[in-house]
Amino acid sequence: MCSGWKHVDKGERVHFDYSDEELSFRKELKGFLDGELPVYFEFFDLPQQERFDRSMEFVKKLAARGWLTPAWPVEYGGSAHAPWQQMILSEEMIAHGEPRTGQYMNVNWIGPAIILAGTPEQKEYHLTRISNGNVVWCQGFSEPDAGSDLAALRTSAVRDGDEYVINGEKIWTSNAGVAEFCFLLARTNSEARKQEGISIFLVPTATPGVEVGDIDAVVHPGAFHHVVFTDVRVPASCRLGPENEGFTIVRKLLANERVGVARYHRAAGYLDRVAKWCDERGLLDDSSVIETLAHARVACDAARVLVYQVWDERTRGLHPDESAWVYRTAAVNAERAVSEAAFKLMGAEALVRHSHADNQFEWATTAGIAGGSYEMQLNSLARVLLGTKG
Amino acid sequence: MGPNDELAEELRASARKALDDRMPTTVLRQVIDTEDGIDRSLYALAADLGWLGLTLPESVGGSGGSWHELAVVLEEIGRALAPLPMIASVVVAAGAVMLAGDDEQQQRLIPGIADGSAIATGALFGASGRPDEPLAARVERRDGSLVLSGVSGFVPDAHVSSWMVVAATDGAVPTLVVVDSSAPGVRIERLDTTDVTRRLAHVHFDDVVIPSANVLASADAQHVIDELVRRAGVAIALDSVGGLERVVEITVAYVGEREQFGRKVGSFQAVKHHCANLLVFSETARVAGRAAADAIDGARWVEWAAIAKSYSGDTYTEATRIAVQCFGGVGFTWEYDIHFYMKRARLSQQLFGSPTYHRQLLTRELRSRTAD
Ligand SMILES: Cc1cc2nc3c(=O)[nH]c(=O)nc-3n(C[C@H](O)[C@H](O)[C@H](O)COP(=O)(O)OP(=O)(O)OC[C@H]3O[C@@H](n4cnc5c(N)ncnc54)[C@H](O)[C@@H]3O)c2cc1C
Repeated sequence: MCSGWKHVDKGERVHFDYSDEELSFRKELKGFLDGELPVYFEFFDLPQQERFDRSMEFVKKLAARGWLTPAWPVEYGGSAHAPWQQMILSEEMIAHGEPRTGQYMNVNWIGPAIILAGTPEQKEYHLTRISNGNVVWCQGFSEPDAGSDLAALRTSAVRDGDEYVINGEKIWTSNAGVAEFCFLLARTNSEARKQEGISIFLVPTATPGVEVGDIDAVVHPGAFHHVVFTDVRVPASCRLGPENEGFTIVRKLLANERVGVARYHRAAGYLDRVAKWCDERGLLDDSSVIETLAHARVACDAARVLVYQVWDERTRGLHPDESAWVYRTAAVNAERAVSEAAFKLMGAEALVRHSHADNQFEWATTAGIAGGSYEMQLNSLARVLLGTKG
Repeated sequence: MGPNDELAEELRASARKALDDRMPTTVLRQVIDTEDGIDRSLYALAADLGWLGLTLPESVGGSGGSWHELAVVLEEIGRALAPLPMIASVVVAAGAVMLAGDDEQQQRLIPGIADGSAIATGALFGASGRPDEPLAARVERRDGSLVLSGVSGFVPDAHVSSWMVVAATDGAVPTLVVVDSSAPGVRIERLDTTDVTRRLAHVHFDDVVIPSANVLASADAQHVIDELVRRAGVAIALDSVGGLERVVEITVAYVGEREQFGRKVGSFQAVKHHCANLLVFSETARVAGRAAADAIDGARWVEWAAIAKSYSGDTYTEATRIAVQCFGGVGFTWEYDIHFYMKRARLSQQLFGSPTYHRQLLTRELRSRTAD
């Protein structure tokens, strides 16, 4: 296993090592995880309710150790540890099947959005609950006609005295079936440019008029939902940040989401299992097998070092969109490389449901769409690179 | 277009109509939920339409046609994702008996395959289902009878078979025997695989007694196995050709309807290139597949078979990956059909030898040719 490369300082210094303190944190964390989750399994393979129950139990323990939101400021329930602790956490969690399930989003960007734009009351209430590890959120962004073109969303929130009245439909909303809150994007001004009329609402899913349905999906069954809002009334105090500035806030925070999921690390974990599978069959002397494994490994480690670079820039107060997009595409490529290698090496045995190849294939397939499509990432990069519009 | 092609196009039109009527994906969705996952009445229709006996000789109930016509039917089946055990029964099992069986065996076993009253399969490989790994089934003589034990992995359609041709070692050499699927000692372990349109099983043999009449009389069983791998490989390549063609159609239709940013998503250059690549894959796989079908028994058969199977295996999987990407979120729902193709492509890629395996065969074949 790669213990870690980090701190790539463009052109100047390159540090590939974690500090002793960080290494011992990783070791302690792994020990805890091995105790709590003795066998590797995909949380996503569990039925939704069981996944939810086990995750809730687990995350509370994580929070009690100060390992849920270590990088957050102390006043919001964090311990202001170096951001690398969060990176180590994100790698180890995903290596163990992401037992935080939906709560990883709270840590990566929902909490930070509230830190950035919340009122003192919102911070007090939500950040306490998030950092204690006992609340699940879902992300209500996409709509049937607003996927890649997120800013075209039509769910509306109309001010009525001290309340907003929300109407519309969200789709692909992961975890909505178990979430207590929805981080919702809705249109508050239909006259303005489409990006400039959107606000954020922190909506309790138990509010009358919120209806959650299942989507019959071929991946992660039970995890996808649509959420319909019919005359849903929420107090104006549910709005996060100024009216009509939701899109700007979300854009900033989604860069966190892009680099917050250590996809390359999960893929590398599957690759390790495929390598072990090959080893058990005496295939590791074959140079074409070694080459196939190494090819996929390089894709994972290239993505790893890219995200470390972004993270390093963050610690120095820079928020480079570009390198986050480069990382995101490299991570999708790593997912695909491991999936291809697994099929190539495992042959017919890859076809069995939940084989290493089958699991990785599922992740690699959704990777190009979830959280914004691969093509849209390339569009953004090309725009910066070529200075073009569109 | 020669007369041959007019016939082939008539056959294509009638096959497409039959499958459009009988196996639209709405029906497919019901069939895959049944215990056996095949539609027996459609199989009976396939027999009536003469698909099953197409390449079998008239003396055993077939119509003595060529692979040129069989190719058409296989393409249409792949296009419709039809869950028909035709490759296992006709190409592999009947093919084995025609290649290695004697007159009596052919007369006894083949008419049932041609008229669809029996379904058969071939269990040709070891536990991992790979042609390049040792067999894990063996026969021994015990008290004057022949006894089969061991396992064959990833056998297609074994669960609906009435008999199967099994490759087993007899001492140091392979042999082929016909095994009654319901004989004592045969256990069919169904596998939970991702392609729901075709079923696979591990078949376990626990001291199964093989009547001497069921030993296929061939001097060189390995040669027969290799030929069956080529034929099944080409049959799968043709199934993939039909699948690819449909993948292009439904993807182009979707991106021509779906709008984002006030435009059809198919108007974005990135998506256009995806679609153009799909077409390149589809057209190339088609000519390679058809060239292979027409090359059977010819001087370049071995070469074309390897090209068709390896090319279609990689392009069908890559094309379906790209297609799902073009569909975005809806590509992951049961409601749309594209995921069926993605999974069928994965199975096709690995069944009867992976692309890597077939490329190695190709290299060996080309080398042996230059050595001549
Ligand atoms: C596993 C998974 C989990 C998800 N979870 C959530 C969630 O919790 N909450 C949520 O709100 N959403 C979620 N989504 C939705 C996701 O954000 C959208 O699916 C994604 O933004 C793409 O939108 P779409 O599906 O409408 O595809 P479309 O936007 O219709 O795209 C279809 C195709 O067109 C391409 N395309 C579109 N526009 C352009 C362009 N301008 N240039 C080039 N190509 C273009 C796309 O790249 C894609 O290939 C999830 C999706 C997945 C797969």
